[in-house]
Amino acid sequence: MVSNVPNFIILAATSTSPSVEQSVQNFILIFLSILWEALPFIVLGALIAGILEELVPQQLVSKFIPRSRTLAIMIGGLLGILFPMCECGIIPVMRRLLRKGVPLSCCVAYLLAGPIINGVVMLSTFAAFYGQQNALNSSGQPAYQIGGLGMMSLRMFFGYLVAMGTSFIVEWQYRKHGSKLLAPLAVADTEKGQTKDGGIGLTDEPPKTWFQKISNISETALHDFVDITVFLILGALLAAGSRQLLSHDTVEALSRDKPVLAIGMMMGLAIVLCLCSEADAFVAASFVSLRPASKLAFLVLGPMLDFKLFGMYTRIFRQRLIWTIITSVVIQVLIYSLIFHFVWEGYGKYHWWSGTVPALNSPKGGG
Amino acid sequence: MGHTHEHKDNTYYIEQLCTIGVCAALGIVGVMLWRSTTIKPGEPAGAGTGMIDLMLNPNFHLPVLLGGITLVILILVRALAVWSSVRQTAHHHDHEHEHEHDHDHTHDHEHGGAGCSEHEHEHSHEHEHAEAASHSHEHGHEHSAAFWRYAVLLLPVVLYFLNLPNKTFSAAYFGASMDVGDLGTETFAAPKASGDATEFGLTELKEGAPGADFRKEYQGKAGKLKGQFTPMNNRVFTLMKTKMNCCAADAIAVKSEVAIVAPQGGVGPIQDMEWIEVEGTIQFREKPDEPGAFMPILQVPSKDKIRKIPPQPF
Repeated sequence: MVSNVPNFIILAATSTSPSVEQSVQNFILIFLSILWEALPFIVLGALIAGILEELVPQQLVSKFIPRSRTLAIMIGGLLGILFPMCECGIIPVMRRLLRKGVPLSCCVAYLLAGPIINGVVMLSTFAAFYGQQNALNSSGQPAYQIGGLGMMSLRMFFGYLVAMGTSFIVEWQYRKHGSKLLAPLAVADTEKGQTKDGGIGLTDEPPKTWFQKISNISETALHDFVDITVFLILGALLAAGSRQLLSHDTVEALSRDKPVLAIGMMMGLAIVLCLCSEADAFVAASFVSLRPASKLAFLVLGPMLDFKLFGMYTRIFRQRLIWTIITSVVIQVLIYSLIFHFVWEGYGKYHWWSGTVPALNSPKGGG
Repeated sequence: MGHTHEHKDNTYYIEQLCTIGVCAALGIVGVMLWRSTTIKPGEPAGAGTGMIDLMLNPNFHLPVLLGGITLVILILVRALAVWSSVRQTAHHHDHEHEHEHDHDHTHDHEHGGAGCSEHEHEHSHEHEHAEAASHSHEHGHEHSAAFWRYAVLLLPVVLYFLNLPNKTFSAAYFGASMDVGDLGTETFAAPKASGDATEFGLTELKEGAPGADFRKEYQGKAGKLKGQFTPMNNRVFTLMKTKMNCCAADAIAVKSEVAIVAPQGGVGPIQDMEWIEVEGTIQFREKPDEPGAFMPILQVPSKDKIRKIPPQPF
């Protein structure tokens, strides 16, 4: 049935030129691939959010939060190891955690560091950069790139640092402005004068039947799913459009031999591409001629900020907090990348580089 | 929840119905996308031509199916709950006329068994309304602007039924052009290669070209390469292979950077990005845009040395 439906857009496009048709196809392919890859994880996150909202009492949540806010933030940044979720799935869960009274700064720490500091991303980063320390430049000399273990460690370290720095800034902002930083749906029930006991009889509410609980879970889950997916779609459309202007080759051509510019361009590319943190390492690794610092900037910034995330942030945070987070993340990534670049190029590659110059072997054949 | 129905206006039900409809459409399209794969067991990821194969790595096909099924289950539960709520509204309206003076058992039961005075009845409705307000009141904030969201959510559904996307990226998307100078414009016969053809990995010739020993060893010898056809002009093409780690948006290409000169008759009916095996004579030439750097070349003597092959694993 699908193949027989007239393809109006493509019929119209081919009447202009094949390159226009291919550009439209590329745009739609990129847009839908970002969407359908993220969608199952948003469904999962929304379902977890519904269960959290309905079944987990606030009193239970507050038992697990350390009294020391500093410790709570530091632990929040490491929660991705226990609860690995991609950044799309974390958003609906985080909104419900905020409603349950989890401190905003802890949630932000998990939001920023969770998509980087988890087993899946650590493995994929290691695999993507495995062996890159032995890469050669076009003259056959060592390129002084960083291999899998080094890149994985640096990504985790700088990701955690950026998340901590931003979370402490958010904590300071929260002490000044309180829940005005949050969208209404994310404000804790205690601040609204409402409490939920998760149906376990701690208040005077009549006990709910199982059907009522499941009904409430489905209503919350679908509401969150709709609310967040709309902005995922808008972000993916923006990403697909931007790819027509800023491509892999454009960035490489513009920033070859200009390492400081490369850092900025790779940060821009990270925002535009809207890749999941499991796959972005392979994309970064494919920029063979760029210096390690620019790839590191791409790897740290991408899971924290891109077009689709920006759209989804508007469902939890108000503009003041969104721009606080964006400014903090971007400035920190830029500064740390620049520092790392000068340290590596000036000292590190001569003392810490672990590669070897491979001998030119007979061809092994095959792929 | 069901007790609050008399305070729910039509907007709430319309929003619920729209949510159910749109989420059902997305869930069903998710399941149909999963069914669209053409990859058979044992075939590499690039072999698929179905819509989902163009968009996602096979590792992500199952999550799409599970996400679609979960959405369908959620909307079935929601639909049942909304239907139940509407029924209770109709039932409650029937009782309302009797309720002014009679506090019957049914109402006592609905209000948790409390002694059902007018005040308690109002209080429990306020409490339940306040409870529902965590959803319906907040939905109320967005009701005036909510319905445009359903149009946005329907976009992927509409594109699916328009059979889009139905084509993968072209070679030009990966920026496959190389500066080949005047290669392919000369009239020549390809030099006869010596020895049996050696099969090279896609990037081995590129990686070996800077080495003088490598060039000396393989200059004039027969070589064989496999990859995806990437035309550059009407006589010269190159090979690459593409990999999609998660989705099409992260697709990368590994380029051979070998300039392959087709025979006088051309390459035949080979499509952009189609997998081929090519055999020819190896040569090295200094790059026009980079003096001192060498570009590997493969001179193909005849069309029968270019063969279509099934997609290869990355």
